[in-house]
Amino acid sequence: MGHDPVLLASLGSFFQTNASTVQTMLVDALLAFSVQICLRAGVFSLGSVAFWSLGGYTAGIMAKHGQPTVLAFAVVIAGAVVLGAVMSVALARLHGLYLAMATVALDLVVVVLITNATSITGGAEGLFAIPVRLGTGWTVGVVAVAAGVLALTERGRAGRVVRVMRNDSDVAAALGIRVRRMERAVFVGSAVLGALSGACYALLFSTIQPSQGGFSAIVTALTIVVLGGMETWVGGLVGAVVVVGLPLWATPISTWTGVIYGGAIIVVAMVAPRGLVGLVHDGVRQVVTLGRGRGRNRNDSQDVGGPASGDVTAMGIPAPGVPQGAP
Amino acid sequence: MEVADLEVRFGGVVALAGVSFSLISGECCGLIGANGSGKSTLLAALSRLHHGAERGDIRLAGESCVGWSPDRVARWGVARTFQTVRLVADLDVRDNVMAGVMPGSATGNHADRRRGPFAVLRGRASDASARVDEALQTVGVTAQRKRRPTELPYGLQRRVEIARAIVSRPRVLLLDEPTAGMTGRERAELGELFGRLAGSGMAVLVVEHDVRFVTSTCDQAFALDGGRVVARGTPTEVIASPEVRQAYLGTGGAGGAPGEVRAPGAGGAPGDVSGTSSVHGTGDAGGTGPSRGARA
Ligand SMILES: Nc1ncnc2c1ncn2[C@@H]1O[C@H](COP(=O)(O)OP(=O)(O)OP(=O)(O)O)[C@@H](O)[C@H]1O
Ligand SMILES: [Mg+2]
Repeated sequence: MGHDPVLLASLGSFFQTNASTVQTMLVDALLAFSVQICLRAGVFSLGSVAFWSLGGYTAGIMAKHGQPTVLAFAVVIAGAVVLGAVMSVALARLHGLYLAMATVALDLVVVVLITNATSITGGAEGLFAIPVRLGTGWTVGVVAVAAGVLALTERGRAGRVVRVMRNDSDVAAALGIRVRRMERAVFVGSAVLGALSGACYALLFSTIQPSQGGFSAIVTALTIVVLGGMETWVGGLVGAVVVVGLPLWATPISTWTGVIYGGAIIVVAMVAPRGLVGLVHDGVRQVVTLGRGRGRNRNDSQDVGGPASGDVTAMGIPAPGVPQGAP
Repeated sequence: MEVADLEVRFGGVVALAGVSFSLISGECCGLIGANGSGKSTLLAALSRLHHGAERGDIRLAGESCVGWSPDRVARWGVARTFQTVRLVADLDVRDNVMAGVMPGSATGNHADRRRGPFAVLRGRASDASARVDEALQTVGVTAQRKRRPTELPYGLQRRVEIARAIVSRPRVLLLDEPTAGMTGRERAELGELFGRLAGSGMAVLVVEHDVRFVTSTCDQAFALDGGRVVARGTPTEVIASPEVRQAYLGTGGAGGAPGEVRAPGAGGAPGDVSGTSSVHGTGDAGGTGPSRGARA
């Protein structure tokens, strides 16, 4: 790999001057992962945003009380698992838009609760002076582990199961896939990722406010997922880099940030419904197919000449008498 | 698999009005009936995939599965295809069939577990792969295994769906109009395949409009009309029964069936039909079944 000293040095200085930007990207990538794993499996939940707030406040309060970071993370993860499991059972009957609405409501309720529990959470002002416990390195580690877990669910049997579930949950069930159980597992995994993202945020930036969760976090997460693409964790990471980086690197036009976001989302949704990563992926596939194109045509016609040849091409047409290749 | 007095209703619509029959291992059973007679609803009920109100009982090897989830029924060994092909568009043909491999069934027997977890994993992976190739071969789509389903003609997509259904060697195979839109030669091929599958010990249920296909492929058959069994017995008996002829002729002979209906069983004695529900006739098709007194 690249051991170019100039590159390394410039990367180093980049990280120094942009540390908080990079950290924000990482935190937001984790949040995007938490939404991705749900959407990818056809579970239209945005509940992980509620866990973002809960995880952030839990870690922040524990750190302020001098608890060790490891313990804070353990509590955040265990809490997300337990609460996520309970919620997933409670929400088991909801699907599609109804699940989306219910989980958005959950996110907003959590914000209200945190805002009103002033004595513990600092109310609308938020928590301040949380001891900084994490650096970029640790956050990269957390994101890398999360990305690794996601990568495992994207390939092999797990990847197939996830695709079948999203595509058609009845078919998934007819193939023996424990759809209900999988949906609950996905919800819990999403809760853990969301809570981890919040905890990292609180321990990186020494502060957290209720308004950072709820609606604004929902919008951020969805923007990242739509822009980057939900198929793979790479989409979450790329999306986070773009969404966090764009307004900072484009300061001259920053008053137009909102417009640019809106426009970008509309454009991506129209030309690349599978996000930037999907766009690149399709592009590569296209080039590869084009490259093989002419050489393959001959093979293809032989391919079809399998056991059921002849009639095969006309099979979709009810009338058997239609000559092949008629159009 | 035994079905007893199964009733399914969607709101006010009675899709199945007291259906009873059994499927036997090693036999291919044909199911005929006009459009809307409840065939697909019956398959949905057998695979526990419908969302209507239900009464009656379905037993798998003696055990009632009415309270089971669809995935549990599938893992027990009930596999199916759908009337409209339902493949996963973003997986290639081979991966679609691979998705039909159930974790528990890939090794087929539990003895493999004794060789330790990794042996099981390795064994399963290679065994699953071999099974997929075998299933692709069986239905004749090996050459298209790297294609996306949407790139294939409809008939091949149907074959892929059959491969996906048989890859885990189910005990019961339910096929909803598997030969729709196929040529005579392909029907013959599939008919022969279903015969072989039944011969290997599966209980096969085929929904089919082409009565000639049923007579040549199936050991048993029954006919639905308005959610009731109006005839049952050997395919020849069923096709000869006046209820079936009436139903097909009465609905304008879907799929050009009438001509074929008369041919095989011409002059067959109507009294031979051993259907229990045939007393209802076809007059009250789609009605609420006034003759069923014991409704809650
Ligand atoms: N989900 C549903 N909701 C309401 N009514 C339904 C539903 N599914 C089926 N029905 C009704 O149940 C009856 C039986 O339908 P079904 O699809 O089982 O018929 P079929 O025999 O498979 O017909 P075809 O030959 O057209 O496939 C029809 O009257 C249909 O309108
Ligand atoms: Mg049907």
